[in-house]
Amino acid sequence: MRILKIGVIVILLLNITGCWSSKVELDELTFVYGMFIDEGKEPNTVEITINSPLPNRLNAAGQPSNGGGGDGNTYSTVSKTAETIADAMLLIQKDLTRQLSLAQLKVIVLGKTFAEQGISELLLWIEREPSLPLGAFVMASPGSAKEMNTLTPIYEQIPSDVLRNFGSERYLFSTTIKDCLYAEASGVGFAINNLSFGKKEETSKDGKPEFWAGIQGAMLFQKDKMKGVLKLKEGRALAWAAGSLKLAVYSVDWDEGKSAASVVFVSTKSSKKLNKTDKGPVFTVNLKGKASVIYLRDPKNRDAEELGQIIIAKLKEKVSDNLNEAIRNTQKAGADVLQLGLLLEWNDPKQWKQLRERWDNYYAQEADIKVKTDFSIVDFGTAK
Amino acid sequence: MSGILETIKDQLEGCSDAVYQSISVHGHTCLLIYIPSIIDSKTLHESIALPLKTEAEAKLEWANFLERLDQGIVFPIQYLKAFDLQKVVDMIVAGKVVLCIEDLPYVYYFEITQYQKRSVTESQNELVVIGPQEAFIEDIETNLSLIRHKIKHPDLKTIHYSIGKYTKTDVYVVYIEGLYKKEVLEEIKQKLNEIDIDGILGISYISEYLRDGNLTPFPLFQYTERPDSVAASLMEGRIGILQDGTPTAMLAPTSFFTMLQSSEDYYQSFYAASWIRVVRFLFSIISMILPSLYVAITTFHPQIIPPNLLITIASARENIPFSALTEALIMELTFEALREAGTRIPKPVGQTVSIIGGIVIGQAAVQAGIVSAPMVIVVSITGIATYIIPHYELGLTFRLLRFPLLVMGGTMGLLGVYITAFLIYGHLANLRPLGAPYLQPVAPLVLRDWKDTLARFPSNFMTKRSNLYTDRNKRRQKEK
Repeated sequence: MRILKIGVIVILLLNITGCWSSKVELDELTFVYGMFIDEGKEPNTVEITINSPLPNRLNAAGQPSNGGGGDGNTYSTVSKTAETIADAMLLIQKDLTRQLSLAQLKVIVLGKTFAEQGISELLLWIEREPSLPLGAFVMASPGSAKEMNTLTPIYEQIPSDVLRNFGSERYLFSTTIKDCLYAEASGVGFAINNLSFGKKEETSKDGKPEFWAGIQGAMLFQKDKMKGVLKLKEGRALAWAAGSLKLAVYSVDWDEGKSAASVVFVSTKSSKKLNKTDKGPVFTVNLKGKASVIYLRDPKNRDAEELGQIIIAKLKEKVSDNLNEAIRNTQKAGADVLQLGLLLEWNDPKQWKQLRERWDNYYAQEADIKVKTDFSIVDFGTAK
Repeated sequence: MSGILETIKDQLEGCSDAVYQSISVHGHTCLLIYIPSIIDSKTLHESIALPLKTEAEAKLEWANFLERLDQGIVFPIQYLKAFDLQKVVDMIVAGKVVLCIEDLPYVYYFEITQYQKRSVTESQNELVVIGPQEAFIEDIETNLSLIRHKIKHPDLKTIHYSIGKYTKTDVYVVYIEGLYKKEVLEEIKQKLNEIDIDGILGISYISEYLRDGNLTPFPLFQYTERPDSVAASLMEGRIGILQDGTPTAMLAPTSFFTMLQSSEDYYQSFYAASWIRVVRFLFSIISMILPSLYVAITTFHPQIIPPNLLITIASARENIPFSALTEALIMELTFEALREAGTRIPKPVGQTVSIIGGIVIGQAAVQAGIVSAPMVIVVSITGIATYIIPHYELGLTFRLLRFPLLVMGGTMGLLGVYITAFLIYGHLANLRPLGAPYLQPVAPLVLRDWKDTLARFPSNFMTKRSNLYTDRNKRRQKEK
């Protein structure tokens, strides 16, 4: 019995023999918060920019403090170009005094040209990089990804925080690395936020220009290739259908513009359904929403019931139009962003087997997608 | 008589405080032998010396006096005969008054012992807000009286032991007939009989004998200074041991979760009590593993810290010359030293230590960049958490075990902490002081006893005694 006990203890302790060497003090690490990937200037190269906070310039209260060298930013950026992503990361590491840690990565921004060429190398690299969190958001920059890094984080501490919040606040799409890997492996598409970049009118205290970033729409991918872009309106409808939209505000008018209303949807839900018909599968995308009226102008003083019907009808028209337009665009681009292929595989595996090989084509040219909406108004706001 | 007296005088030679008071009765010498500092001198005067003098002045015969002495009617207080000379000497030094009468082969003795004692005071170490306040004192008679005051039943039994060659300390084993586990009492009796020691000055001497060579750092017996705790435990079927000279009673057997209960729990509303218990459990765990978790996570697994918190910790860690482990060890050791100094320091200068300690740890060390502010917070929380454990000895154990955990956490990471914690848990599950599983009702799992473990159910839910301490008469109250 005694030998058995000692044996168990020894076996338990043997588990931790390798732990000793993995010790890294917190002040020997630099945490990469954002990663910006562009095509290099020379062909077949990739330029990687990392964005990481500088704890030595942030005191414990999170405020910028004096100390350390450099121009006083609380974050630092390093850029390197190499033939592969792994090589570029190594080059970055080589020039840093601290060990890179990807464990806190929050956002990956893809440059447009890089996205057009295909992101399969990136996805393959991510698959084999254990420390990289799968919850990091993926976004796209209309120009170079690197310039996103120069935006001025006015409310946040570092630029990556700004971009991360675009994802986590679910303004449009909140696509993560996991979603991308999933879509690529399943042979369907996905959409990511297409950012915008511009100069702010006001300049900072010391006269340098300030840049800001926003969302201008969505970028559509099929498997690992960028296929097209969507404008904000369609992007929002598509994000709703994909189930990632949190804030939805719509305005409608009627009576030749004399009456108008704005609503905010307090609940946005969506469902996708497949109907098997003789002519092939018919997909139905259903948007459900509960709206709260936040602005109302009605010279005719209709009662609530009548107003509700009008507003809902107008909303239905508007949202369906947007979504139809968005779906048409995805079909034109050949990007199955709503992942209807997976729906088909789940509900009708036989059909999917036949269509799988040519799904990209089928989706672009033949797929029959219907849009339904189901809205209700929960309140008309407070009337004072 | 001369033989007896010679022997007594021989044995008490050098005891200059022994008094030999001679009173002549009908021409015969009667000698009162006692040590005045440990007897009740008022009783001596009124009930022994005075009747003796009255007797001497009475017109009765010597033989008549002896006869009446034998009948027990000379003195208004109880007195007995003793034949064993060695015992007579022991009685004198234990505060009895011996009456030595010429020509008699035996002596009479009076039990009017009165040691110096303080009065019953409020509990100092196990405070309650609502509920009885009185606590045990050093005098065992008083302590027994406090328990008898709570339990007025003939089934409350006491067994007397006199332990220690020199101290001859009175030890009482108290229990309620019909509730205790027989084998537990047998074992305690046997162990107490086996004790052969110069003297016992504290109840922990006894506990070390009862441990039976078990070297676990965890306390195997519960100490309490509260009569109500003893009474409650006796009614659960536990056995109490009282020792003269210690204001603390020992309760056996003991389980881990019993020591995380406070008497206050039963005096407050069960909602409040249950909530406080949950907090107490949480902080007990924190007091043991928080520093090791902090060190392990920051040096091995920074990826699991939320980003904003990570930046805060990382910026505080910048420019700290030591590794997180060294930093934690320095702080913990300093804190232990401060705490010990705070306990031992004479009261008038106590303030100095707390002020200097507070400034050194709290301010200067952080500002000088020797330790980081989050580490100070961790050590302080841990320090406070230690005191949330109601049983002081268990708190000491937790304080001690924190260090191996810290070293494992700092060198092996979370896995090291988990494995060490697992080994400690395994050790706890393996403990069976006096046959009671230490971790019951968790291991073995006894769901019925959970009514009084993490939560404290209303009293009318607890209709049965736990089988942890009793295997007979489980009915606690009428079931509805």
